[in-house]
Formats: sequence, C-alpha cells, structure tokens
Amino acid sequence: MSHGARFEDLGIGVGLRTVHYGHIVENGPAVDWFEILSENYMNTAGRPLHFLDQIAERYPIVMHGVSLSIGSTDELDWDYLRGLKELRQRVGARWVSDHLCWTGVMGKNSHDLLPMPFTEEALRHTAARIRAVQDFLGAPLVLENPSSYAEFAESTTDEATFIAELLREADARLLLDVNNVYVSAFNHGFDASEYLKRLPLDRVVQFHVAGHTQHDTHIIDSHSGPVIDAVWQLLADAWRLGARAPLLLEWDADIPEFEQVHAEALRAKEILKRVNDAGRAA
Amino acid sequence: MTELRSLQSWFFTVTTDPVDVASGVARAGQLTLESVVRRGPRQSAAERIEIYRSGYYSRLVECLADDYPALKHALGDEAFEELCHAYVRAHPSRSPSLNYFGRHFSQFLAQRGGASAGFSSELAQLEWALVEVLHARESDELPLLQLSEYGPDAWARARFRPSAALRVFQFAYPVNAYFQSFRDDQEPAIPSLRTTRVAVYRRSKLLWRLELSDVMYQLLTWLLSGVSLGEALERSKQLGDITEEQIMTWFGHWTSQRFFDAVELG
Repeated sequence: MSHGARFEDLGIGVGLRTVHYGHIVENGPAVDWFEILSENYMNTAGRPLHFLDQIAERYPIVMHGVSLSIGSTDELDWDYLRGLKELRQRVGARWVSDHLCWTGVMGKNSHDLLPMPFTEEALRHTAARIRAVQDFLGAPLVLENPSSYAEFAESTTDEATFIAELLREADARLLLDVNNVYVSAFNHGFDASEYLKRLPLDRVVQFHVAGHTQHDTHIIDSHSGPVIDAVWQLLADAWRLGARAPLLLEWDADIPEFEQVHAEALRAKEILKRVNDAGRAA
Repeated sequence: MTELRSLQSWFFTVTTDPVDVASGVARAGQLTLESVVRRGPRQSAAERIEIYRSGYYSRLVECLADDYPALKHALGDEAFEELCHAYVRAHPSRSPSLNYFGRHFSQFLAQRGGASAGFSSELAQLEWALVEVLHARESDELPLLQLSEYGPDAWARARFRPSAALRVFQFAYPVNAYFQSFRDDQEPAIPSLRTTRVAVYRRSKLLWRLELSDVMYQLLTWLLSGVSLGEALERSKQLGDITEEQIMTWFGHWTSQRFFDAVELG
C-alpha cells in the first residue's frame, strides 16, 4: 500500500527539550517548528503533555522516536505503535520519524540505537516491518541514517546502498542526519561525500545537524556543542546534490539557553544561501 | 551466514554484559568476536563493542540518577553507581520508554538490605512518587459550589475518589526533610528514625510535598480509601483535641489542591 503524504518545507527547527519549556511557553520565540522526542510524551498524562499541548497550538510539530526498533527480530510492539499514532493525532504531527536501527531483542531494551548488519536478510526483514508500520500509521515512515561505532563482518553491502535499497523497497523516506554521516565516516573510515552520492536524496524529507564529541580513536554522537564546519559542509554538499528539506538542530547534552540553540540552528540559513547563490552564479 | 536473530541476540548479550566484552563473548557463545564485528580503522573489534557496552550501563545509571538525585547524594556517587548496576542486572528495561525504568528501585533497596537500607528505600519511595506524580493526570476542580446546594446529610455521606496525581505516605524516617535539605544545597546527614507523613502531588506544572500531622494523615487516608466525609470527621475527632473547623480547613485546602478526582454523594 502506498502512503501519500505532504512533506512541507517547515524551515529551520529546534529539538524541543524539557529545559526550554518555560522559555518557549512564556516568550513564544520565532522558531519555524519543533521536533519532539516521541517517547517523552507517551506513557504520560502529566507535565510533559501539559507543555506540549501549549506548544503544539503555536508551532508545527514533527515526531522523532528512538524506540521503534524497526530492525529488531522481536515482534513489532503494537502498544507502542498505538501510542505513537495517538500522539501523532493529538499534536497534529506533520510526520513521524525514527532510526534505521534496532534497540533490543529477546524482550529487552538497550535504549541505544544499535547497528544493523547490511545483509539481504536484514533488508527484507526491515522493509517488511516498515511497510507494516506505515500501514498501521496510514502515513509514510521517515527513517534516519544512524551514527554507529561498529560494523558487522557479515555485511554484504555498505550503509548508503543498504539505505537506498531499503527505502525503495519499503517506499519510505529519509531523515538525513549529516552529523551522523560525519561521525560514522570517521568511525568506519569511509568517504562521507561518496556516501552522500549513494543515498536516495530524492527521498530526503528532513535534515538533522548536531554537535558531537571527538575522541582520539572515534567520535560519539553526543549532540553536544555547536555544529562543526565539516558537518555544515556536508549539509551544503547534500543541498548541492539536490536534497531539499527542512532542517533541525539537535542539542541534548550541556544544553545552553534557548536563544543560543536557536541561533546555532539559524546558521544553516547563511550556509544554504551561499550554496544557492553559488548555484545561480554557475 | 549467521541469521539476523542470532546476530542480534549475540550482540545484545555482549553489549549488556556486566563485566566486560570478553565475558560477554564467552557468555554469548557460538560466535567469535572477530567473526561478528569488523576491526575499525583505529579500534579493535573489542574496543568498538565496548562503546556500546559501557554506553548501556551509563545511560541507565544516568536515568536512575535523574530520578533519584537525593538518594545518589545520600549514598555517594560510587555506591549509587554500584547499586544502579545491580538494579540494571536485576531489572533490565523491557519497555520502549525509560519513564518508568526506576519503578522497582525502592523495593530493590529494601530487599537488598544493608546499612541504611530502610532510609534509602523510603527516600527512593518519595523520589519515585515525584516521578509518578509528574506523569499522572491532574484532576479537574471539584464542583464544590454545586455541592453546596446539597444539605449537611448529603455532605456527610460524600465519598471522594483520589486524584491520580497524589501520593500519601507514612515514613519511619524524615525523608521529606532530608530531601528538602538536599534541594537547598545543604549537606544533610542520614537521619535517625522518626515517623513522618507527607503528601506528594502536582498542580499544573508544579510538584508539591506537603508534610502532614498524624491526624491529617489519618483523615486523608480515610477519605482516600473511600470512607465517607461524615465518618472520617467522627473518627478524626476521636484522635485528639481537634475541632471540626480545623478539619474542614484542611479539607478545604486539599480540595483546592485537587487531591480528589470526583465526589459521590452516596
């Protein structure tokens, strides 16, 4: 079943975080849209929803989850999906996204975004689950390329090719996290620009940018600090290659004042303007 | 080619091992580390897997630290972390949400025993009540003006249903005072036994803790358990030198704070 959907150009958004609730509700900052962490508003009838309802009245909302576990070999969690659907209706979410990963197995949850093996079996298995979720939600599912720290020896293809084939097979959309591309490229030693070229950029409906934590041997996708220039550059590269979508900044550790987070997100405007200007000049 | 299910079971077992990657690989059996995980450009397969393993514990410890800040202060960072690791092993998360991951902590502490287990368990109970109340549905205001149309007999028969955003406790330790000292950035010592009573509730976006006297606690407990207002009043008066006016003042305050979700006029 095909699920048509309108993916609006929402502009530049910010990830909604608890520490900013008061500021947003009281001051109504001029932000284009907010992305919420879906699970923070499920299994609750209390304060998180008290704020979310007020914010959803004033701003477009997109739902971004971390627990769908689309690649797991456990059964799909239909209670979770029902909660997701209810929340989507409650806040009028423009779309629902999660990650290309699995979070647990054998009934247990690691609450981490665990890497997929890029095999034929994983592709068929995950595509079937995406289709089932889309049928249940009655909307396309948007999946994010994850950052990862390990690769499976049994993978028979690379991540970008796997994503391209998976999204085509399941008719799903891509949330392109350019910070994750940068992180995984460093951790696994691949060329980030080449990775972008192999992605189905016509399926990109949203961008993510974020900061990260650089160690000597690896990078952790910590969502802390400002976005580094190399990540902005990857955004510009994707834009140059034809990807067009609203953008969102994630900031989850050592979160500063709201205005600083918003200002960091707005840096995207200048960067994308330069790309557009250069394109016109050429 | 290893089946996806087997790969995931192996990966999960290794990355949640409480000791280290080698121990996890031994426990998972069947597959070798190198046959599952590739070496990276700067890290061995074991170092790469260790990122996930250490992340598993630190993430869940952080979740418990968010829910139990005063308990962490009382036990000290090291003892708290050790306790959290034991808790994670005993109660691994089986939910897509972390909202209720720490719900067994008080009971876990009580069963574990040891020095100050009684105090720690009660402090955890108080802190968990704050989490529960944060996520609970708040009651609407009771239509007391409409109730005033009814006579005293109807009032005496009135029974109240408790709000989902209210918890009432009697503790053997003064855990609420300890919690308040912690919140005030003081360095409270672990207190001695002293019976205390407290109500934890939410009004709009704010969480409240209200110390209760013995009589207040008894009256409130009766009302919350379905005893009629008239019966609760009579019982309260027998507890000591309490006037009906005092009792109705308390009752009025609790009603204004939405302790009750609904009223039934018998």
